[in-house]
Formats: sequence, C-alpha cells, structure tokens
Amino acid sequence: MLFNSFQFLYFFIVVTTLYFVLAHKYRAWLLLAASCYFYMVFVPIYILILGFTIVIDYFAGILIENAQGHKRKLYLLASIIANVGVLCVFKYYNFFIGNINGALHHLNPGSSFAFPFLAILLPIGLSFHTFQAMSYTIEVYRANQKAERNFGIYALYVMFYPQLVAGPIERPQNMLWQFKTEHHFDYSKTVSGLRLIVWGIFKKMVIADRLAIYVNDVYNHVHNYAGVSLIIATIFFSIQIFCDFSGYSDIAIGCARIMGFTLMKNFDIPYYSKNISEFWRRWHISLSTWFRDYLYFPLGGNRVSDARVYMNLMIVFMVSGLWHGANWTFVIWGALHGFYLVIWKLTQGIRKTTSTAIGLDKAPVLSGLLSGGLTFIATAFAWIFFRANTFKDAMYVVTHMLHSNGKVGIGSMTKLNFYLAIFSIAIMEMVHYQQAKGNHLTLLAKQPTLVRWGIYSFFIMVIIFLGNFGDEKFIYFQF
Amino acid sequence: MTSFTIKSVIYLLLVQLFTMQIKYFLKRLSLFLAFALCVYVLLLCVFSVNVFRNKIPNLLNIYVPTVTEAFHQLHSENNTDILFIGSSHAEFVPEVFKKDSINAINLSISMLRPMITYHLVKDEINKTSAKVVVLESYFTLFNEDYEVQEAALNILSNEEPDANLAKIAIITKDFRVINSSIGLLVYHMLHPLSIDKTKKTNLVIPDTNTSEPITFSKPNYCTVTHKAFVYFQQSIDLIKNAKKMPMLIMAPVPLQLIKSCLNYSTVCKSIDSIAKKNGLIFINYNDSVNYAHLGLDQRRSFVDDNHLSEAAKVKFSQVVVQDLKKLNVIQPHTTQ
Repeated sequence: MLFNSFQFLYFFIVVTTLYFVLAHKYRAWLLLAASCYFYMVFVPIYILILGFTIVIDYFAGILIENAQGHKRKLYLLASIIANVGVLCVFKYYNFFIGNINGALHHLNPGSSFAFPFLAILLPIGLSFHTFQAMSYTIEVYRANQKAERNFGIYALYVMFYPQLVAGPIERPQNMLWQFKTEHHFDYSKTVSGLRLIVWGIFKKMVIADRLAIYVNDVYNHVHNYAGVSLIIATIFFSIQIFCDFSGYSDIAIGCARIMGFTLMKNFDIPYYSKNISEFWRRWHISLSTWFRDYLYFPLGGNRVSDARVYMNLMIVFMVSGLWHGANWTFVIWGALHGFYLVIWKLTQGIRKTTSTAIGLDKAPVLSGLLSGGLTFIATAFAWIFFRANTFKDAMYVVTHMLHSNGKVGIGSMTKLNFYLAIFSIAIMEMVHYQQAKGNHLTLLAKQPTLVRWGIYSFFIMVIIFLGNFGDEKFIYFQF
Repeated sequence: MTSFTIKSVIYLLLVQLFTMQIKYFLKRLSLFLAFALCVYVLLLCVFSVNVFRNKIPNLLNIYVPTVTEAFHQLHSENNTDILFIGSSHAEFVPEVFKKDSINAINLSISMLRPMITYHLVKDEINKTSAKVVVLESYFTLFNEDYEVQEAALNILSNEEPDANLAKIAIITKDFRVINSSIGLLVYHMLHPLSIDKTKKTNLVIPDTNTSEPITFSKPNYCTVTHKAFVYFQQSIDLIKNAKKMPMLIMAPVPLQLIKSCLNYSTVCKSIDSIAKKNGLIFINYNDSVNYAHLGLDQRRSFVDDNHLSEAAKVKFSQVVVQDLKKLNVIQPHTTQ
C-alpha cells in the first residue's frame, strides 16, 4: 500500500477515525492490527519474518534487563545475530554468494561448481525495521530504556505503520511512552499534519516522479548519452531522491502527528549544507544518528587517534552504503562519503587559512554559496554510484560527463515535462528558502484564512494537475 | 434488542467522535474542501476547453479524447454478426471476416481488464445488433489493480457522458481519468458532437522488426484477483440477458511468455470453469493443438513479447473464422 494511493487514503481515514473513537486501552491494538494489515498488503507471508524479529527482541530485552554481568552481553549478542542474520539471509545472501562464485570462477575457471542462489524477494522495509528493533535491545543493554513487558506495545514500536517500511528509524525512548499516552484530537496538530502530508505528496508525485522519467531513461541506457545529458540526469537524481525520500518521511510524520505521535525529523533541507559533515546532520537524520550512536561511538568515535577516526569514518560510511543495498555501487557511494569527510577533516586548517588569505571570511554570502555549491557537487557525484545499475554504468557516467560527442537531449521527457519539473523545483526552493530562514510557518500563519486556503489549494491543484499518477514506488522501499 | 445495542454503540461512538475540537475541524475542513472544489472545477473548465480545442496531448493530467472507428461502427451499423471485446490481444481483423461475408466489429482496447469490460458491456450491449459477443480472455489481465486508466480513457472518449461513464472514472481512482472525464463533460457541453468520429485509435501495432530480438520478463506469477473473475462473470450475464451469445477466446502469444507466467494453467482452468459453468464455448489458441494449427513462427509472428504481427493477425483471424464456422457459431450472410 503506497502512501500516494487512494487505498492508503481510505485506510488512513478509517484507522484515524477509529483511533479517536476507541477508548485508549484499545488504541494500541487497533494500531497494531492496522500495521499488520498495512504490511501484509505488500507480501503477506513476510509478516512472519517481522514476527520472528519482534519475538526475539521482545524476549531479548527482558532477558538483558533481568541478567547480570556477561550474560547481558550474551543476550544482546544473540539478539543482534538474529537481526543481522535475517538481513544477511534476505538481503545479502545472494550478494555474498555472487561474489564467492565470482571469486571461485576466477581462481578455477574450468570448474562449473557454484553455490546456489536463493529465489526470494527482499521483504519490504527490512533494513528499516531491523535497525529500529536493534536500537531497542541496544538501549535496554545500555540501561537507557526499560524493557517493554507489554508485547503488543513492543510489537507496535517495530511495526507502527507510518514509519514501518521507510522510517524514520525511531528510538525506543521516543516512541514507547507515546504508545502508552492517551492522545486527544488536536486541531493544530491535525492541520500541521495534513500540511506535511500535502507537502510530502507534492515532493513525491510532482517533483520526484516527474524527474524519474528523465533519470530512468538516462540511467537505464547510459551508453546512449554523454555530456550535458548525464550531468542533468545526475542533478535531477539528486533532487529526485531527496524529494522521494523526504516526501515519504513528511507523509509518515504528518500521519503520525494527526494521531498525536511525534516522529523524529528525518531531513532538514540537506542541500543547503555548507560542508559534508553538515550534510549528514541534515540528510536521513534517523539513520545517520543510528550509525553514530551504535557504530561510530562504539568504534571509538572522535576520542581516538586521528588515523583511527578516519578509519572509523570509512568503516561507518561503507557499512551505511551496504545497508542501502547489496551491491558494490552502494558500498562505493558510502566510501565516497567517508572519503569526503576524511578530506574535510584533514583540510580544515588549510581551508581556514586560505579563506582568510583571500578574504572569503569577510564575504559570508559568497563563501556560503561556494561551500554550498561544492558540497552539492560532491554529493551529486556520489549519487552517480548510488543510482547506476552497475559499477560499469557508473564509470561510464563519470568518464563521459564532460564529453560532448554523445546524444544530448531530454530523452523520453517532453519539453513540457522538463519545464514543469523546473517550475516545481522552483516552488520547492521558494519554500525551502523561507524554511531556512525559519519563518515559513510564521509567514503562513500571519496570512488571512482565504490566502492560506488559496496556498493549500494551489498545492493540491498542482498535485492533481501536475502529479504523476503512475503508481511509482518510493525509492527507499527497496532498502 | 440486537439492533438497539448496535444503535447505542454507534451513538456512543459518534458522541465520542464529535468533541468540540473535531466538530470545529470537520466544519473548517468541509469549508476548505468546498473552496478547493470550486478552484478545481474552475481550473478544469479553463484547462479542458484549451486542451480539447487545441488537442494538446497529455497536458496537465487531462487527456485528449481518442475516438475509435470501431465505436463509431458499433453505434451506426445494424447488421453486425459478431462483436469482439478485449484488450490489445483481441487481434481479430474484421476485413478477414468480411471476406467470408461475416460482419465483425473489433472493440479492442489497450489494457482492457474485466472491471472496465463490465462497464463497457453494460454501456454497449444494447447498442449493437451482434448476435455473438466474444470476450477475449488474455491470461495476464485478470486483475484490477493497475493500469486501468488507459482503457477507461479510451471508453470515456467514445461515449456521451452518463452515470455509467462517471462510474468508470471513479473506479479507476486515477486523477488523469477523473480530470479527463470532467473535462470531456465540459467540452461536450460547449461543443456538442464536434469530435472527429473518423479518427482511429493508436491500437495498430507495427509489423515485426526481426532485427531486434524479443526480450521476455523473468518467470513470475501472473496477478489474478477474485474480483476480476466476478466482473468477468457479470459481463457474461449482461450479454446473456441481452439475448446474445457470449463466447470466450484466448489469442495466441509467444510460447516463452506462457512459460514466464508460472500460474498460466491455473488461470486457464479458471476461465475454462467459467465457460463450463455458463455453457459457453472457450477456444484457447495457446493450447498445443490449436497453437500448432496456427503455425506461428516464434521469431517472426510476434512484434513484441505479447502481440501478433500484422501478417500473423490475418492468419489467426482466418483460423478463427474457420473454427467459428465449424462450431456453427456464425453463419455467413447469403445475401451479400
């Protein structure tokens, strides 16, 4: 069930109405049943995998809390192995086997032996709910969170439908208590939630899905293109993935907000970042903080030697790449970001000296534009590896971006679609500009009702008349 | 007693629901929706008149009507013998039937699925003089979940707006169809009968290009829904009620495509059981005997992974004519 479908609209209206109608003690069960249904609409049988990790982590949490000494670590380890094991089987098995078979063939070209592949589909949102479940046992182990004794509440923590398939990856400290608190209907929360939903749908259906026409055309036939076309496709993909994923997050946060729940912010206009470190504080915040808290800090964080810090950064970002997908292109994407951060840290002193020497520090606007532009170029370059179907394709894009002897054009995208895409991006950037100044909501609230309604209607009409109704899936569903 | 309890529960639930805040919200929401609806209709009127007058394709999620010759024939001819209804796989060539003095109309509409077929049959069955109505039964289309808008738009473009067409627009749950149908309504009001009724659809498939190999998708289960079969049965009932003879035919596709649908035989069994239940003739041209009789070449007889080439369509139609004659389903007009 996609967020941008009528099916979800009916589902959401029914569930939310029932939620406010029912007495508090039944609400968690309603949400749990709704979440099960929501998940089972995709591939019903995969609810068993989700059930397996839920049961394991529920008991692991209680056992960790009750145990003393090294046993606590043992139970945590068992829980992590179970969760990572599920990920390995369903997400990484074929990737590893493919690589092992490739290596065996390389060592012994004559041999026909190969390990068999598994004919399985990747359960939707597996990486998201596995990480959310893992954060629970880790937090119980660290004694930051009490083990949840109510199985239904714990199951709901993993399965809460707005954020079940593509995050934000929540923490138990932020969610568990909210399921126990009675939420009353709140007018302002509902309006703000609806506003977020419309904004998310606008980003997904009007911008991301329109840009996808061009991006898919170019990236699925890279050899037909060169030069400007590849550059435009890469820039478009950078915007597409932001609109697609942040659009999903906005809808998820909006839906939860209407029911009274507060989910964590997942995006904070990331392309306004002035350096790569800031980018990762603004992009997919729930995942980057997950890796920071549960991998980077345990590896030593910043409290180790410089060389170790750099190594830790590379490890964290390569694992983050692998988290996204079982393909070397994702690992390279992660490694590139790790490399950017290492370079950024290494050159901090030089950059400051140079900036002072040429007087850039006295021109903050120019300096901001320059550093923001460079950060965007660096992230867009990394997206090439994220989007390309194969490493070979990615290398073709990298090596032919500055050539002009290829087919240049807007591919299967009509001129009208191209202009509409630019128009929609311009609207989004106008909103982002106000958002960056921190006053977009205040500005909206100051307007008379008719103007506000006019603005809301404008976005709804843009969705109806310019939206792509082709059932495009969200990119992050595959992770 | 039971009804009293249910009423009390509903009353209590409503009381719970209509707190002051919710009341206020619902009031504001209703006002806003009315405001937005006015904006929508106003914009739609402006856009649709421009789009339809200038025939700009696919602008602002409003589609220009595509009027098919078959619909025009269906509405104007009164000596039709056989009517074919189906997706783009209903590759029957009326000219081949004509050579045998059989008047045939082929109402093939791209991506036509049972849900839309039902509404189409409902709208058309009493407008045709055909005694036999063949429902083409392509095995991958027995679902309702996606890609119904293309067929819906085709039908909407060919009919005068009425309640049934409004239903078609609504069941697609697709704003492209809803926008276009309201746009068409506006257009019809302003320009009655001004659509070019001789324009053909874009359903003509070009001849095969043998230089490029046909690629097939990986084997998978074809999505089949119970609802689709319910609609299929309802279409049969409508045809029977109109005192016409329904019949089922599955057109041939490449053998590789059949292999790629892992539940092909199950779908065929379901179609066969519907045929048996209703006492209908069902000819599956993908059955080994029928398929061999057609003598199709896997390389040259198909233009893509599921459509016949122009030459193969003619060959297929000739075989269908012979089979229908053998089965005594149709009799050629002796006067012609």
